[in-house]
Amino acid sequence: MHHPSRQSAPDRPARRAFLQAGGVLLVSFALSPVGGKSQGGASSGALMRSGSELVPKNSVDSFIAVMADGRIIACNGHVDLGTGLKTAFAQIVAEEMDVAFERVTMILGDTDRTPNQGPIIASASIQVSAVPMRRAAAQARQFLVGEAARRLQLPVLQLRVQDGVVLGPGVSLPYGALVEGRRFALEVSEDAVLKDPSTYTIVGQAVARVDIPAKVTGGLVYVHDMRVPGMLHARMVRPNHPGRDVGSLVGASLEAVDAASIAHIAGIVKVVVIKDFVGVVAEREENAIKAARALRVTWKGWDALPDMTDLASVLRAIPDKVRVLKESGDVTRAMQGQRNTLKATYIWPYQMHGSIGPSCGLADFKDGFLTVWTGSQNPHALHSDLAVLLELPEDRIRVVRMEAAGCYGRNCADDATAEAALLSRAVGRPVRLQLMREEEHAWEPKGTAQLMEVAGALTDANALVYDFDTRYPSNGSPLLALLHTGRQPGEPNVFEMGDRTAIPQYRCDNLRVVARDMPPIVRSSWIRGVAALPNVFAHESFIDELAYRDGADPVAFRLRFMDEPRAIELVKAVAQRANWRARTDPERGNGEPGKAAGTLRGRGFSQHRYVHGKFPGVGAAWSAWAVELDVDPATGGVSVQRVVVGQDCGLIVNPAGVMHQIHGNVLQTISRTLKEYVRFDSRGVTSLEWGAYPILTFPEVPEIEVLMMPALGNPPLGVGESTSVPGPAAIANAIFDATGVRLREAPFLPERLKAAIAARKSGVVR
Amino acid sequence: MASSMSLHVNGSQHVIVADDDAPLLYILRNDLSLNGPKFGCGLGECGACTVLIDGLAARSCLIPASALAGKRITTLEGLGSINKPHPMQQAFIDEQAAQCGYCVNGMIMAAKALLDRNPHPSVDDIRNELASNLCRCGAHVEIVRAVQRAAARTV
Repeated sequence: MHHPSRQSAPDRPARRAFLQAGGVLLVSFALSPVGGKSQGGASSGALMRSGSELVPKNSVDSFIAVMADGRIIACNGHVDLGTGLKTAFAQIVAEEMDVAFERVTMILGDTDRTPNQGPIIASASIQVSAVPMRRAAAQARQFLVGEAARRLQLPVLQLRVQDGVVLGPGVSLPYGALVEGRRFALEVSEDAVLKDPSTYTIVGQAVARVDIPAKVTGGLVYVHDMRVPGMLHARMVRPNHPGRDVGSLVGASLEAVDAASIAHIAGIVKVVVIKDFVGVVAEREENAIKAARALRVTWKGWDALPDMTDLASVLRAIPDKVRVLKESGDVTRAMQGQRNTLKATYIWPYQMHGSIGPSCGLADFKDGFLTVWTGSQNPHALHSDLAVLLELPEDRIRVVRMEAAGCYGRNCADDATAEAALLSRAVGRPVRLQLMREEEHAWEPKGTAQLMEVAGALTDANALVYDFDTRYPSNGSPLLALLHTGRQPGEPNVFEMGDRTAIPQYRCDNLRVVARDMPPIVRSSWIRGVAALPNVFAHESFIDELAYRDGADPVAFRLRFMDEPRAIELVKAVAQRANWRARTDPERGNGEPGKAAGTLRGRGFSQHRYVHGKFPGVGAAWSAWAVELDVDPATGGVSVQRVVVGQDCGLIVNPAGVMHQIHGNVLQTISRTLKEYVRFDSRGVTSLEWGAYPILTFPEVPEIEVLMMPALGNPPLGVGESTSVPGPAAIANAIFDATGVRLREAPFLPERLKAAIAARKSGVVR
Repeated sequence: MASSMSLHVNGSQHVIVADDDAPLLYILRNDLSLNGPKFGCGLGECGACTVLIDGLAARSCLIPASALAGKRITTLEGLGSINKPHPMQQAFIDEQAAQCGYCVNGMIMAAKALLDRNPHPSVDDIRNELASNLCRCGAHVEIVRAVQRAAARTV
């Protein structure tokens, strides 16, 4: 637990304590951050700072420490976003060091103590950032056993380790005794000998999450619950263009603030105004809220947004940069003369990450030194942003990461923290700021809308031609405080992320894949299954459409064009578990009767491997879905009944953790697919509370059956989001199977499906 | 207008000075330093702020504290502690029924109120009771199992 001890720059006592301890073994790790400096790859302008590196990656400061009392402390720059990462990391360290799980303490995401390991994205922490930590742990064990061999004058081969005690014939030496009174420092070597996974006893076990007992009993876990003496409360007053961060008026739209309008509210400490940054600091939280609502502020008018209900037109109208991702054969020629060429356009809407807890930050600016407590997903990048915002050297800032509400990509955690920092500097006291629900809904960087246009045909029983084009208008969503205070202009930068899983995972004799990079329309950034989930919605809907045209069973049709053995095994296993019966004659609107009278039952399949990171990217786990659902044709309502979801993620560190991540991703994906889209008017976001942005509720939860493929010696692959990626198409395909109606725009709202069913009946083909 | 009010929280009496319209949530969190009830929406839509008032689940973000004189208020901390968790809290630990866990206060408090009223609810009873408690991580499956587990312990 982090406590609000005062830090004086440039001393970093938290870190120095380890370095100065009498008995300690430090093993440093050499790291390579995920995805390089900018996650977006090539881009115009500084979009996202790569973050501070106060803890050097190759020095003794980034480490596994073996303490004289036998405790093991391990530091990692990645943080736990509610996925159980902290627990899984501790399992990995305990396993390699042969100590009981309970002896390991993890420290995550503290810029004074942990190395910068790049942004936490794409569920890649276990796949990537655990690797150097595992090596360091293995090397520590190797060193300690060697040290014991020397002291005991026994060959290493006669020694073994049991719960941190080196045992030999008739002798034993605990790790703590081996380091007592001395200090050892090692650098991790690439060839540290790792344990054989077949001998694992801790990795692979369903170890209980370390964070849950405190969470269910009201312990201090979340940044929202952090309190320091003398703390004040703040609320922001936001510009009148909710959720927009591009344009010449960014940082220049404030006309006037009438501080007298809140004179009647008790305990107001200060109204802080810096260009478009307007915050109210008060002694009591409820009065800060009241004051922020009552404060009379006038803003300039903004350009109107285009009609966001017609996303296809909006996305087509943005200037784009065409990036050919792949071209093999000759798509144009192959499609010439094909009578059965199919063309389809798929649309994915703007969606929210939708943290249940609006973002919160706590800042204490004192004597030229800033300490912030934050729920940031990327504390080291926030650290650099704070240095720019406050014009402070990085070594006068400490960022302490605490847990927060799940964010699934991005929320306003960094924004709230930076705003609290400015307010704390303005009032000279610690300030806690939590966003109101409408602010989080309006300003969180949305998962961007996407438009996918596909053309393709079977040119032979075993040959496909496939032409795929995807539009992704997004950047990295710069910190609001940087924009609103005018430190950074509201320029429409471009992030090249639309390429994620844009390459279809089917054998195509002629293939062209194009990503159109484009600037954001509203504040937006990555969300679970970054670009890949919409892209795969298109791929896996389209392949189903082709299968139907070919009169083929959708699973058998897919297998005809698959070459990757792990994917093939997974598809077969999921189909079998789902009791998938090959059917070459789809129901075409006469679906099997569902559970309730008058409903139609349909089934759908989908599979893909999530490929993320800078193009061409790296693959995470393979995932496949088989869905059964009921459609009520009278209302258009869809009720998912059963999901069989399979995953091949290689080695599983914690099967319970993986199972929970899969459940969560299945449910969130059903919610996104059936219910979720952000509404806008000409000013900006109008979905400002849960009534206007409904998400899945308990009565709508289907039966979920999880199938995990055996690891067969394969290393671990990213788990969480991989599950999400095939979900939307599986649901679209099942709706088609039930009704004969093909929905190509999410979400599949009842009114949308009802209208499509009516149109189909009256013979109007969409 | 600020006035003095007396609140009975987790078995003891507290005197608080706050505005008459101050919602209970901020008083529990800021005057009594309780972490259990969380601010989620301020509109009663999500359930993160749920407490028990005379045994009934209630949304503390909406209810003015000044209206609660003579009522018994129970928060998550009033059920049990990390060393001595309430059976419902233990059931959530056993089923690992939280991901980020921000919503879990509301789940536990609403489920506790349900079991007090109906010790042996069906799965549908549990789902309906929690229908207005939002979870974004998708821990629903584990949460329902936790409530079933706690119910099975109640004889």
